[in-house]
This record gives sequence, C-alpha cells and structure tokens, in this order.
Amino acid sequence: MTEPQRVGDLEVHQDLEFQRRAWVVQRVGWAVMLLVVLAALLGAFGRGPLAKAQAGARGDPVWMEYERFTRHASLGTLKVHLAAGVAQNGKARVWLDRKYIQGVKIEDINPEPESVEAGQEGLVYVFSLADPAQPTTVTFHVQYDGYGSRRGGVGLAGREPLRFSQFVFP
Amino acid sequence: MDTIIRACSVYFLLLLIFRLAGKRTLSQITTFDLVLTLIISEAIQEALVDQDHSMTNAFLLVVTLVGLNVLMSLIKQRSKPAERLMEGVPLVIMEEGRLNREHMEKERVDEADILEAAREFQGLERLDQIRYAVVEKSGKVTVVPKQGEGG
Repeated sequence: MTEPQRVGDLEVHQDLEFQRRAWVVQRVGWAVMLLVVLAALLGAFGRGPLAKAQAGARGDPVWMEYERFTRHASLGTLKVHLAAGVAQNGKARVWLDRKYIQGVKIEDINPEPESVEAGQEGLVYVFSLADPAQPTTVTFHVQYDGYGSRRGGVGLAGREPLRFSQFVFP
Repeated sequence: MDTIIRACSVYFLLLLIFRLAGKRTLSQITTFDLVLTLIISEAIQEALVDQDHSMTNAFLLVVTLVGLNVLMSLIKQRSKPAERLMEGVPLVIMEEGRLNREHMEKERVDEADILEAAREFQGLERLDQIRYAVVEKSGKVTVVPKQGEGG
C-alpha cells in the first residue's frame, strides 16, 4: 500500500507520474478510436466500399460480386452473374461449395432454383432461364454465422469454380 | 459503414430531443451522460444475447458479468498497481487557492465545474473561498474550503 501523498496540507493519493502516462495512453487510445471509426466508414469491417469484392472478371462466363469483409449474424449477398450462352438445355447449373454453405444460412435465392442437386463437394442449383442467349444474374441472400476467414467456391457445374475468401468479424 | 452513421444519427437525435425537453426532465444526470448510457446499453444488448432468449442464456450472462465484477474487485484489493490501472488516481487541480490550469485542461474540467462542486457540497459562493479542489477517480470534483468558509 502506498502512503497517501501530501500536496500542501492535503493527503491525497495523487500520482503525477502515473497520471502523465495515463494521459498519453488516453490520447493514443483516442487516435486509435478515430482510426477505427474511419476504417469502419470505409468498410474495413464490412458494409462499405472496402468490403465490396469481385471474383472473376466481367467478361467471364461466370463472375461474382461478394463482400470480402462482413460480420457475424450480418446479412449479405452473393451475386452470381452468368454470361449469355452458359445454359445447357435452357437451364443454368450453378455449383456452390458445400463447406462454404455450412458456414452461412441461405435466406433466399433470387430467382428460386428449379431444383437443387446434392453432390459430394457441393450443391448444384439448377435455374431455368427465360432466354439462354441473354446474360442473367442469380442472387443468394445469406446470413453469416460464426466468425473467421471463409473460403468458398462458386461456378458452373462441371467447370473450374471461382474461388473467393471472406473474413467474418465476430 | 452504416453502423457508424446510425450510431451518430441516434446519438445526436437523442441529444437534441433531451436538450429540447429541458433541464427538469433530467435532474440527476447531464444530457450527455444519459444519452451515452442509454445508447450503449441498447447497442450491447443484442451482441450479448445473440438471438438466444432462453433463461439459461440470460442467467449465464448475469453470473459471468457479476463474477467478473467480483474478480476485478478482488484484484483491485490485492494489487495497488492494478487498482491504479483500473480506476485511475485523484488529481489536484487547485492548491491553496491557485488553479492548476494544465491539469484542468488535461482532465477537461473548468472553473465552472469547480464552482458547481463548491456550491453543491460546501455551499460556497466564490473561487477565492476554496483552498483545494481535486478531480477524484470517479471524475467528480471535490472541494476543500478555506478556513472559516463554507458550511
């Protein structure tokens, strides 16, 4: 137990050395808080420009828009763009990696797939296309569960899938 | 990004509303403190509960939080450095009637705060009646009157 210091006639546990260090730490802490807010505004923790990502390029048969940063229990979207002519018999078969699906909850698929085929490593969503000669987009609305980095694959069934990774903040 | 924007909007809206409501609505607590306490408790709630509304979850949360509080108080009691780290230390901002402006600025306390404490606790009228003023660990300002003053 330290003895109370005396400041004049006052017995008080003042500790100027500690106090000065505390003020420095406080100011540093404020700077860190400001950085956190700025980073969040930019989307570093999800839901902003920094978080938007793309797998594949616009001209590809399949390319996808997704969020590279997101958060637990947050809602997100995987927009899978299909180029013209990828359909087989008027149906587009979109493959999604099983391990990835286990880490998210698929809330909604827009448009609704005609059927879903369970494969060994992934699920194949079969969509019927109104006009196979036109490009189209399939949107998976998901809810992220848990936290950590996630790797996934999406693509046309039978072809090399696009790989993507996300980080889910707790 | 929208999280930050929402937090800012709610904060300023509440601040505005309570300020407009006037002082009598709040008496014991300043507008700033009230808004902060309100929003923080709401913000944290969902993160703590995480969609599990069972009694079990609720009790586990309470037991853990109370337990942490007990643990912290034990640590504070056993270790002076730990107590200093967690609670801070008092700071003298007025000595023998002389204001220490550097300390006041660093702690964001001004003369009006000292006068308010002087009125509240000692019934004093002016700064020159005060001998010592201290910003306590809790942030409250306490005042020691000069000999023969106050009551």
